[in-house]
Amino acid sequence: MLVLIIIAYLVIAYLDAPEIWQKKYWRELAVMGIVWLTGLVLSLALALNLPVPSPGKLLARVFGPVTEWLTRLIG
Amino acid sequence: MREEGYISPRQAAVLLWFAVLPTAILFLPSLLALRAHNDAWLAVIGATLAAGVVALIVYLLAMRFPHYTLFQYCELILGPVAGKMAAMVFVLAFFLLDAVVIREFSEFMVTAVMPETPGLFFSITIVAVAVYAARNGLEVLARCTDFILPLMVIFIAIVLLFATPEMSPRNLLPILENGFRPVLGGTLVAWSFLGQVVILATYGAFVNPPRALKASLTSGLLGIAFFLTLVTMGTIFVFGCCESARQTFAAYALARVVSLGQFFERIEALFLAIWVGGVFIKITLYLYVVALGLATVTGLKEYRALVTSLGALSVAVSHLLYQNVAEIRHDLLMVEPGWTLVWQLLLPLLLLIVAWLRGKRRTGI
Amino acid sequence: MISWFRRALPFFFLFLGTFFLAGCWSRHEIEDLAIISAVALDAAPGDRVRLSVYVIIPRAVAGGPSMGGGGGGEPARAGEVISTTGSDFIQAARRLEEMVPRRLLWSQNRVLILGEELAGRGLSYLDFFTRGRQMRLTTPVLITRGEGRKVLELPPGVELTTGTILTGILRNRTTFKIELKDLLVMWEAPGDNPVLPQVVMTPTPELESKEVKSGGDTGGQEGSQKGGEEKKPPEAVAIRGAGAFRDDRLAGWLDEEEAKGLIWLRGEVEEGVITVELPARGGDKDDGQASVIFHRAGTQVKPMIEGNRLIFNVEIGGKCELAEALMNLDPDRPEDLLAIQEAVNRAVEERVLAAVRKAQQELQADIFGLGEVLHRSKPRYWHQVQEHWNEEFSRAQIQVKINLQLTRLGMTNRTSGKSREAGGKGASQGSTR
Repeated sequence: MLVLIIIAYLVIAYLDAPEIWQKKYWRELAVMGIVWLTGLVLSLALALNLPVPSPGKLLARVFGPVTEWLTRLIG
Repeated sequence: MREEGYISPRQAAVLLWFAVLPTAILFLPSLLALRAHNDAWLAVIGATLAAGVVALIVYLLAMRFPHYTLFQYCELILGPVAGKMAAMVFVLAFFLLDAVVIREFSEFMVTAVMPETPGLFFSITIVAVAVYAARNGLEVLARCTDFILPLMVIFIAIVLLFATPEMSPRNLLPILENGFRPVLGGTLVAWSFLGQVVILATYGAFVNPPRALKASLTSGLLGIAFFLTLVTMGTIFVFGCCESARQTFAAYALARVVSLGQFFERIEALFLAIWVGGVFIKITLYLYVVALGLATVTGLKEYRALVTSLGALSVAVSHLLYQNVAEIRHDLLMVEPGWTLVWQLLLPLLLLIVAWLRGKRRTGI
Repeated sequence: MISWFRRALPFFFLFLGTFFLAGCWSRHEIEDLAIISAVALDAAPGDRVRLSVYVIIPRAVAGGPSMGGGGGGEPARAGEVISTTGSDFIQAARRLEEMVPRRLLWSQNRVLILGEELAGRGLSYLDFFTRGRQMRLTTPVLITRGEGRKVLELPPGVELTTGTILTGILRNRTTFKIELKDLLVMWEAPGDNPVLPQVVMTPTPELESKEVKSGGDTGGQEGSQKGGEEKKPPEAVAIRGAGAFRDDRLAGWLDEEEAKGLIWLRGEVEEGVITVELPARGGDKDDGQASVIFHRAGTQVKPMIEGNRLIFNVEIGGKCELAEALMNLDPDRPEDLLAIQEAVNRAVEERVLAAVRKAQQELQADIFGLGEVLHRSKPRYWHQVQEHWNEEFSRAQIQVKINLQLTRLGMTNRTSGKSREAGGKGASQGSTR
C-alpha cells in the first residue's frame, strides 16, 4: 500500500513537474510542491493508520454548536 | 489569474445546476423528511429563497467587478492581506466541499451498489477523470454538461413519472401540521446545499456578457429548486414522511420502486450511471474552482499544474473526513448549516458591504 | 530519454486498464448464484427465528417449462426449500450459505411470507429485509396461519416456483396487495395499523372442486378452507382473508368477507365480484342470484366531530357491470336492475360493517388507516387523540353509505331461456321498442 501511494504520487509529480520546470515557473512549482507534499504525507499517514485529526471533526467542534443554536432558534 | 475561455450564460446556469443538484438530490430528501416531515418540499422553497439572497449578493458583486473572480475581488475589496485571507477561506471551503462530495459519492457506491469494492477505489477513479477534465478548463467542462444534462433531466423525469403508480399525493397533507418551525429547521439543512450557488461568483467571471449573470443565476437556481422539490415531493408521495426519513438514499430508493408492467423495472443501475455523470461534473467543477482559487491567492500564472496534486490531496482528505454514512448525515444536519452560513452568506455579504462602503468597483476593462 | 518515457506512459495506463476492464471488482457470475424466489419467516423455539428460502434449481428451470416434466407426469420441482434457524435473520442467512454451494441472490425474491408465530412477536424482524442492499421494498408481503415454510413447499402448478405462483395470484387482484414499503408505511404511521393478505393452504384442486361447489370464492361462506386441512396434505394455495396487526404485533385474523370489507374501506378495491341473492318475485319459482363485477371504486372518508363523538362518514361509490344472473332478468325493466343494485350496495355495506365490527370490538386496532385520514383533515383534533388512537378508534362511529351503480350489462341483455314474462318472446321483443 505504501509503495503504491509513493508510486502514485511520483507519477503525479512526473506528469506535472517537467513542464513547469521547463517553463521556469518557480512559483507554480513551489505551490504545487507544497500541495503535493501535503497530499503525500497525509496519504502515508492514513496508510500507516497514524492518528490524523479530521478536518470534519474540527469543523464539527466549531460549527456544531453554532448549528445547534441556529436549529434551536428557528427549527 | 485568468482563464482564456468564455462560457455562455446558459452554460453557466447549467453548471450551477450541476454544482448543487447531484449530491443534494441523493442526500437531501431523507434529511428534509426527518426535519420537516410532510413539509419537506416547503423547506426546499424556503432554502431557495435564502439561496436567492446569496445569488443577489453574487450578482451585485459581479456587477461591481465584471470579469473578476471571487478570489480576485477579495483582494480588491479588502486589501492584499485581509483579501488573501478571505480568498483562502473560500479556497479551503471549496476544497473541503469537494472532499465531502467525493466521500459522499464513494460512500453511496459502496453502500448501495458494490459493497465489496473499497471506497477508495471509487474516489480515486472519479477524481482521476475529474483531474483530466479540470485541466482542460471550464469551456470543456461546460460542453460536457451538454451531454449529461439531458440524460439527467430525462432520467429524473422518467423515475418520477413511472413511480406515479406508487404515489399517493395525500401523504403531503396536512400542510404545516406543526407550524413553521419544522419547515425552518428543514430550510436550514437544505440551505447548506442550495447556498452552494455562491460558486457562480468564481466561474461567473468567465461568463460573457457579465450582465447576463442575472439570467444564469435565476434560471440555475430555479432549475435546482424545481428538480429538488419534485424529487422531495416524489419521495414523500411514495414513502410518506417516516419512511422517507428512514431511507438513507431516498432518491435511489425511489428509482428502485419503479416497476411498470413487470418489464420496466430495476432501473436503478441506469439511475446510478447517470447520477455518477452528474457527480463527476460537480467534483470537476469544484476541483477546477479550488485550483483556480489557489493559483489566484498565491499569484500564479497557471492553475493547471495544481490540479493533479489537489486531486490527490482531496482524495486523501475525503478519506479522512468521516467514518461512515451516519457521520455524513450528522454532519449535513448539525454542522454544515452553520459552516455554510458563514462562508456562503456572511462572507460574501461582508465583501459586498465593504465594497459598497469603500466605493470599490472595477468596471470597464 | 524523458520524451520516450513520456510517450510510453499512456501505454502503461492502457495496460493497467486491462486489469480493471476485464471485469467488475465484485462480480458474481450467474452460474455462481443461488437465486432465491420466495422467503418465509418463522419463529423458532427459544426466541430464535427460522429463515426458509426457496432456491431455484437452475437445471430444472433452464430447459423451459416444456421440458420440466422429465419422465413422469409430475412436473419436476423447480426449486428447493432450505431453512435454517438463528437468533436473527442475517445469522440464519449465513447458515444458509453454509449449506448452499452458491452465493445467495436476494434481489430476485418475489414474496415474503410471515409465519403466524413470528408475526405475533412483532415486525421488527423485517429490518434485515429493508436494510439489505439486495432487498427490494416492492416485494409483496403475505401472512399465513401456522408456519410460513409450509407455503414454500407447494408443488409446482401452472407456474414452476412458489414465488411466481403467489405473485401471479396477487396480480389477479382478487385481494389487496401489500408491498414491503406499504407495510412499513402502515406500521410507522401513527394513525394506521398493518394488515397483510393471508395465504391459505387448500386441498388439492380436485378435492377443492368437490367441496367448494356451494360457496365459490364470491359467496362469503368461510367453510371451504376448513375441511381439507386435516384430510390430506394441502397442495394448493389461495390468498384470501387477512392478518391484522395492532401496532407491530399480530392481533387477529379477518375472514374473507371481513377482508373484502377492509379493502373497500381502505379504498384499495381494484376489481372484484360480488354475488347477491335476490328474493323470489312474482312469476319466479326460486330465489334468484346475480353477480356483478366492478372495476375501481372510490372511497371517501370524511371525519366529523360532534360534541366529543368522532364520526367517520364513509362514502363508497363506483360503477359495476352485470356478470352473471341466475334469475329471470329483463333489463328493460329498470326496477330489476335497481333491485340488483340495491342488493349489491347492501352486500358491500354488510362487508364493510363486518370489518368495522371486527376491528372495533375484537382487534381494537385501526386497521383502516382512518387515523391518518383524521390526521390529514383535522390535525388539531388528531394531536389530542394521537397517543391513544386505537382506543379512540374503537369508540368512533363509522357510518357507511354505499353508492355503487349498475351501469353496464355485458354483451347480452335478457337472461337466456324461454321468457317467463307474460307473452313470451314476442312480448319482450315488443317492449324493447
